[in-house]
Amino acid sequence: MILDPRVESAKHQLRSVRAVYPVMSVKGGVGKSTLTVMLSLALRELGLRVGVLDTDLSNPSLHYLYGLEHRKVDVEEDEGYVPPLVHDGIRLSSPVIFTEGGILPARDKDSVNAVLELLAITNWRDVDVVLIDTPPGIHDEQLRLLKLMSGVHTGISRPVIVTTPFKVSLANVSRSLDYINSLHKGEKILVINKHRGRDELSMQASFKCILRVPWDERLDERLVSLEELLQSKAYAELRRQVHSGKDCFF
Amino acid sequence: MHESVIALGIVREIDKHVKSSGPPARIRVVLGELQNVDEVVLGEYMKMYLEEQGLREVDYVFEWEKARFRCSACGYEWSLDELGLTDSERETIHFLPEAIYAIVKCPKCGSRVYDVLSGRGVRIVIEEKER
Ligand SMILES: Nc1ncnc2c1ncn2[C@@H]1O[C@H](COP(=O)(O)OP(=O)(O)OP(=O)(O)O)[C@@H](O)[C@H]1O
Ligand SMILES: [Mg+2]
Ligand SMILES: [Zn+2]
Repeated sequence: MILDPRVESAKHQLRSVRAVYPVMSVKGGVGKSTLTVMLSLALRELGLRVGVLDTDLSNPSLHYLYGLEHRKVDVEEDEGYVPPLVHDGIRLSSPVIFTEGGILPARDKDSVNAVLELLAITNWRDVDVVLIDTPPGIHDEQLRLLKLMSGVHTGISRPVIVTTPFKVSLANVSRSLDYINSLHKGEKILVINKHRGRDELSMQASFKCILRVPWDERLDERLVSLEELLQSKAYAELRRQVHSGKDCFF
Repeated sequence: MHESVIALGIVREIDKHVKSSGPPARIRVVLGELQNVDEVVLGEYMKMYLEEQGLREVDYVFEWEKARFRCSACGYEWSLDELGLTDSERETIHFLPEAIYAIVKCPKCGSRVYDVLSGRGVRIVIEEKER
């Protein structure tokens, strides 16, 4: 019998984490990474200590958004490594911390291995909740991540599905739900990003709650720093909804 | 230290196994050359965790496995000795073996698409007693 010690290592690292939120989308470019960062800020403002994990190995972007790219990161070693603080109360674990910006291949076997390794070495001490940014699409890689997480984390696991408000996108989400539900039985959150006006939604019942983040024409310019992002219309709206609907996350 | 979490993972797996199936005939802890853990440090942490779990009498052996790679583009196979990695590159790979893809290309054709055939990380091999 062959056993992999990393599964138990990862369990140990996640033992005091109350909830994990894998952020996923059917299509690319809908705003997963931006929302991961905004959610980390909004949850932080609720007083939670937040960890963020970048599992988009071949296109990691959170380090840019948190402004980590120009800083040489000194890794603090303690039962693995303690991910660096990227903002008051927010820690980021990303493969780029080890590859100094180099990217890793997205081949299935390697990416599962690399994500499990990251989970095994990341010491989430002093972290209450962990947001996980994922590569675009809801395919094998994302489903394997959900499966992996259910094996190493016993607290709340609540996928955050991000979509745009367009009919086709909503239909895609609706179609992928069966697929997701087959591996993740628990409750999920839907974020309709780049929202304008109304939407015709027929799947309220499938989600614990639905957040709507408005289209913000100035968001791209705001992404230069977290201070700027905190001032954005999109963030203000997300923050309001997260704070008035805390239950959504627990 | 990274070795401490690996040791903890190994001992928890051994503990689960002993509790469910009794002590096995033999336990081999296979150490991949790529991840390059410190065998002495790992052994010390394992001793500590085994004692904590009341598994002092459990015996195991360490076994090293050479790292081998095969290029998906040209089929060339190579080992670590051929590469001449720096200490800092070795340290990076120690934490995250897949970081090798950001550091190393196929020595023959320069491709970044290749397989790690053996010697990646740490695994536990449990050999059952004959019944
Ligand atoms: N609410 C919004 N209003 C306007 N623009 C937005 C909004 N949310 C995100 N964007 C923009 O959309 C683009 C894509 O965002 P982001 O990189 O976060 O998407 P993603 O889903 O992570 O992409 P990928 O699938 O490639 O990882 C960015 O330019 C971002 O600024
Ligand atoms: Mg992204
Ligand atoms: Zn080659």
